[in-house]
Amino acid sequence: MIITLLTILAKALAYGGALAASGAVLFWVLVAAPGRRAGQMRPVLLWPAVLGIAMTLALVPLQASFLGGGTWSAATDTDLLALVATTPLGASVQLRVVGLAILLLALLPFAWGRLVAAFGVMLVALSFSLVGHTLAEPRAVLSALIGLHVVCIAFWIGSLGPLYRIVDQVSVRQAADVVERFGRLAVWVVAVLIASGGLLLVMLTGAEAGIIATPYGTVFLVKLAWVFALIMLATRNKLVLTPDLRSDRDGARDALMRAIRWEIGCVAVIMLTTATLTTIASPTPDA
Amino acid sequence: MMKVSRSLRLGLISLLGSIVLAVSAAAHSTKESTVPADGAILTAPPATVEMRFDSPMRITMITVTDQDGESYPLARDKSLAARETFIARPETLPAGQYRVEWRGLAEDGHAMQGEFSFTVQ
Repeated sequence: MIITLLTILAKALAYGGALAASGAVLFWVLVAAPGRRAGQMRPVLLWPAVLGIAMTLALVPLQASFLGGGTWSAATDTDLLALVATTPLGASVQLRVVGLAILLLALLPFAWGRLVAAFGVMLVALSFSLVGHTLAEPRAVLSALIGLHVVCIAFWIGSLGPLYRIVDQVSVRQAADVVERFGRLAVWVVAVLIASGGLLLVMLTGAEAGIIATPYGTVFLVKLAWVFALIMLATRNKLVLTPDLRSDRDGARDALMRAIRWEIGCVAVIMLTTATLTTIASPTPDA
Repeated sequence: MMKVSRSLRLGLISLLGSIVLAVSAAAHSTKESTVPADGAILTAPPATVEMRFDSPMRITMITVTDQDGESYPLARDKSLAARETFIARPETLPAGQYRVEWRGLAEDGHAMQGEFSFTVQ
């Protein structure tokens, strides 16, 4: 049980770190005002990427421990470690770590640093499609969908940190420009996120109503509730708080920062729920 | 330092409850058939313990314990190769209730676990 809980925690931090770092790069490429220096990305890219790398690597001994019966000695068993390293999980870990390392090139003060980092985002997204039920058939379609889903999630949650800092640190007019630009793009990103997530769910479960009664279904409903809460918060940000910021209404900046903190809280719960889903349960009732 | 929002605290509480429920319920979520069958009552000790899966599985751990929690050794192929049928040979089991627990790695990288029980009269 303790290994299972540690695995869930490590996965949640690995997911959160990898997605936040990838999203920060996407935000800087697609949204942030030109001319912002690479050094300004450091707090929202460096630590999430380092956390993502560390927690992703930790999954290998944790997986070995689980496979050996949940003991600590199994976490250092060379046969089990070698087994995990040669499985799809091992390939996923290697790809994600390489992708995250490449992301860090965005911190270099060269224009091509961000372009190379965008390639790192692709590797990180691809790493999520190498494990689990996304290896089922039709594999190419499932892999493409999960990759698309992951890029959209990364953009959304990876933008929260940079947005928070920009709203906090620049003039109201500049902040409103960036938040509005993000909001216009986010509408489409969220639409693709929901569509790809819905398609994945139908393809993986066969849209069977019985799925709700399974452990997977229970945890999935918890996740769905928090995704819904996140969408509601984001909608309020776009329709109410961003116009307030644009018109420099009293307290608008604080209200938007508070809303972003709530969104980050929702994201943390969603990461934990997703880690739980991929650790303890399978989307099919009896497999 | 960013404040921990109320949403996060509420979420963690609801999530913890779900994890406990789901972890306890997920132990039997793997499709399998076994020899002896789950719940079987045998008049003689089984010569083999077998598990059949609908897709290849690498069995990384298997234990047999009786009603008192005492473990019994199993002879098994040490290879961790993926296979649809896994066979192990326990030593001669005295009369009692036994539980077989296993863990393994599916070909898609999913770690799996399961258990089944039988009785020797």
